[in-house]
Amino acid sequence: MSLNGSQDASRRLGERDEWAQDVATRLGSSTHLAQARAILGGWATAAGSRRDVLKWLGIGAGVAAAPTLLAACGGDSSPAAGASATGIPDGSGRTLSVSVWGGETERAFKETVEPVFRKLTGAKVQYDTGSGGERFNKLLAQASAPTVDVFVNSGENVFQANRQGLLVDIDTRRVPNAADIADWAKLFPYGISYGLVAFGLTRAAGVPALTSWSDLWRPDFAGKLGLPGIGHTQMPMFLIMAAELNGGSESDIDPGLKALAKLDPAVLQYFWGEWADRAKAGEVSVVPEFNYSLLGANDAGVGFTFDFPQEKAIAADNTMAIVKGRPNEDLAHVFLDVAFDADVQTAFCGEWLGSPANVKATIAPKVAGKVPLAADILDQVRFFDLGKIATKRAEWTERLNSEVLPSWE
Amino acid sequence: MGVTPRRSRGARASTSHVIGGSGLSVLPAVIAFAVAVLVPAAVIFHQSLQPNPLGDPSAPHDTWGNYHRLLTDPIYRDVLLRTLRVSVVGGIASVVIGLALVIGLTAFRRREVSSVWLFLLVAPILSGPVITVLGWMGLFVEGGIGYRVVNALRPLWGGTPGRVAETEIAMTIGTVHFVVPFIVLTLYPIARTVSKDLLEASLTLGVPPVRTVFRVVLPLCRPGILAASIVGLAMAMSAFVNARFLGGERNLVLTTLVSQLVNTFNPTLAAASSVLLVGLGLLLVAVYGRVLSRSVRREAAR
Amino acid sequence: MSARTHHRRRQQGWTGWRVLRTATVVLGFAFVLGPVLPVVVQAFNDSSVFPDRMRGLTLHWFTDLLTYDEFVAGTWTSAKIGIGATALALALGVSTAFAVTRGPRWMSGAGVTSVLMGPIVIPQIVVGLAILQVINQLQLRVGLAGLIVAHGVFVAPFVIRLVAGALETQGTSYEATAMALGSSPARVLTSVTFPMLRPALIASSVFAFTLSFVNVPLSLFLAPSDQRPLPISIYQQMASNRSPVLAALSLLLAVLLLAAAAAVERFLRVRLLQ
Repeated sequence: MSLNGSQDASRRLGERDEWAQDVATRLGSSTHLAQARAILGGWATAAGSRRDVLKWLGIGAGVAAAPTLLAACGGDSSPAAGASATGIPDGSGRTLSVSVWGGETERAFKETVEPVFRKLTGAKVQYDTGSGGERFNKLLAQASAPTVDVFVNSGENVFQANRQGLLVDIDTRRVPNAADIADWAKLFPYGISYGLVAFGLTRAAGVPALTSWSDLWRPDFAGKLGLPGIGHTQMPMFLIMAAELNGGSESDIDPGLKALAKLDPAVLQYFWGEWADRAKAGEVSVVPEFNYSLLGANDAGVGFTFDFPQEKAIAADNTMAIVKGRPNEDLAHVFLDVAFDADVQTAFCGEWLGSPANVKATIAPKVAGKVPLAADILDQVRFFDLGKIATKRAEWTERLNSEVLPSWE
Repeated sequence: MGVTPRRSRGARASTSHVIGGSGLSVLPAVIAFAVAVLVPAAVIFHQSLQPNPLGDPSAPHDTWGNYHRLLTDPIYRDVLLRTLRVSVVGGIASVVIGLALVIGLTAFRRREVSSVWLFLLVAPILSGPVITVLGWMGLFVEGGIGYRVVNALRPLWGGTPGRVAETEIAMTIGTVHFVVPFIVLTLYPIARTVSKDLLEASLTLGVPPVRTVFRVVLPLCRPGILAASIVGLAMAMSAFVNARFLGGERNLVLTTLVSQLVNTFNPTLAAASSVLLVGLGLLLVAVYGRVLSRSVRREAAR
Repeated sequence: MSARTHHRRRQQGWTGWRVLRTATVVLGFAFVLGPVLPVVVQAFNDSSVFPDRMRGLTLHWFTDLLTYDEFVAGTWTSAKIGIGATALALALGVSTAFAVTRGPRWMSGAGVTSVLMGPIVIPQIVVGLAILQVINQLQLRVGLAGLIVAHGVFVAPFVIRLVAGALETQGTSYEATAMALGSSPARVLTSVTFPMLRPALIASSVFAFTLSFVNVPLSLFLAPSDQRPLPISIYQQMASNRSPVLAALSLLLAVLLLAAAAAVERFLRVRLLQ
């Protein structure tokens, strides 16, 4: 058993390598087809767009690439030889630094996006990991000389990073696969979501299906709730939901605060590991949680079920952005393009367990029945104004601390 | 060799002839602390007076507003008081437990304690706080051993049985557990130098062993207890992992408050809380140190 | 020990002391090791859930460790940081210990003590972020050096404690004798003072290295992205999944550090923790 473990691992690595090579070959050729189309279109429409075309082709390499590109369209191309000829930046000897959540998300990037990206560009990838907040603060602290190229974080953190002038707008012409990304995922000009996760209600075996966020206030759940912590990514949305249930709104939050103070939580939690044991001990029976986190919790024997409330679940957008003032902007665009490719998305979401943002992506067989397609849950999730929430979060957190926390002790 | 020798008056009078007597060798540390502690502290202080760059731009700004809020808002006053309570109670409990362990292992024994025992006592340091906190979380779950023990003891201080996870008690226990190994490390070298002859003499005079421990061993350990108390207090105050996972947001202390604020786009209030935490820590250590060193001197004068 | 004292021991409350001592030591060890025990059990438990009841013995969590290359690389990174930080902490700690124990009287007072304890009081997460800001503003490319300096400074107070204790114990009489016999201060330092301090120096090195090796909060912000210390990898794995691999790793680490300490004791012929 133990020895097989590492053999399995190396076999898996071998298979992944072949898969990555296939995808990279296809991306290499499809990218240059798309680019050829764009060049032809660009030249045909306006002289002014020529500069854009050169910009999109990448720094330096673009000028030389233009003539050979059209020739290369017809024939087949091996990605190694074709890299510079197709306008894909040559990354040999360069390293792209990606800021991402450590653990499972990092693993998903490492096993699906990175191998294709490496085959395509020859560049290495390194990961700067931490919680969303830690990495956002790190980016902020290093504003004068950032050390990461690609910033993967919550939509709110991406919004704030842009507000501080740390991001560039994504040039979608350099990310052809962005064309296949669903509209809901195109959050900002500077941030595109790679997948959808739903934050809804989960319940223990034996608890009848939950239909509304207002079920949380049912007296039989008092003392049995696992609520999101005050600083939880989804807390402001949860607060808005509570306000709306009680006649308030995003701009009238008081009823929400009053309502939350009436809840009686058993646990305040940030990830399933913090409530799983207590659920197994019977202390917790209803928890607002992400659908993909529940898969992890259930693997650990929690046995909960996910419900979409009638007021809709809260959409969580995990977003990719490109950092300003870095020498690898060209490679960063390719990294996003690879991450948004349909095949890569299918594989990525099979590891990461969220729903792919690419409309052509499918659900990987190994997670079939567990992970939904985004299109299938889209009418059951609600998207919030992340910019508004981001600017209000500090104030709301302080109010939650002083108006809600005391009654939760 | 007997009791831990304190510097005699004579030695003090001739400091210039002693290596290191000038005290100038403190300079490297002063410079290093200035670079790694004071400069960042100044940055933090400066930040604490600025308007929040990540907040609502229409919100009014008051230079000292963050400090005003922290000191007057009841919830933040609670946080301050809880921080004091947990660090004082936790710090003292750690010293008592550490001292009891060290004396239990060393008193009246001519043979050295086997290193195995000592290494076992510091094992939690080696495995790191994160993994031991997971252990505690498992023990405090309803029906767990920790849960049952705490609830059995609660009536002693008038508490009511119930949830243990995410309570101040759980956090204090976790903090004590985190600090005790450090106390053992600080106290053991001192306790083992307590003269066995002196104890023998006490026993020979007919003083029972338990009273000998209180009358002879404890007073001889006093300088060590002073040092250990400062370590205990400071570590209990700055412990984060235990406070985060065993106390949680329902029992915010300054460290967890700072972390919460940093992660909710409130860097300026977080900075002000940090300044407060450092100020409180230094003050507490200074006061405690003063009280204890006075009692040590009194003891020495006797 | 004379027969007379033996006689006395039996007579005068000796049983009381034995009971008290046994109770203290047993309870104390149970308290310290209690929460570590589930981790040890989990490392060998044939269940992918953590924590879980015993479902059978296995070693595959240990062999699985090898498939996490970040753990191997992280061990090496943490070792490099630990060695650098230990050297710095020793330099700072030893020189300060001399000043505190032998310098002017005010240096041993409560004020100085609290300042020297300052690094222990300051929340490391915040100071880590602030140091990062300073480094970035000055446009320094420090790599691991920033982390080494931070670890060194924050571990130094413990070295000061240990070495100052040893210096007080050994006093100045041997040095005074050597000086009186005509040795130069430098020679006294190298042939009298430091050899006598050897156990304290080795003990504080081991201590400093360990503290640096397991540090999370400072490393969180200061670690360069291409060189991630081991505890950071563990911490982040823990926040997204709770595989028993982590229990196996923690156990392995503790055992390795213990073995290293035991080796130091045996081959350098010193007793740590003294």
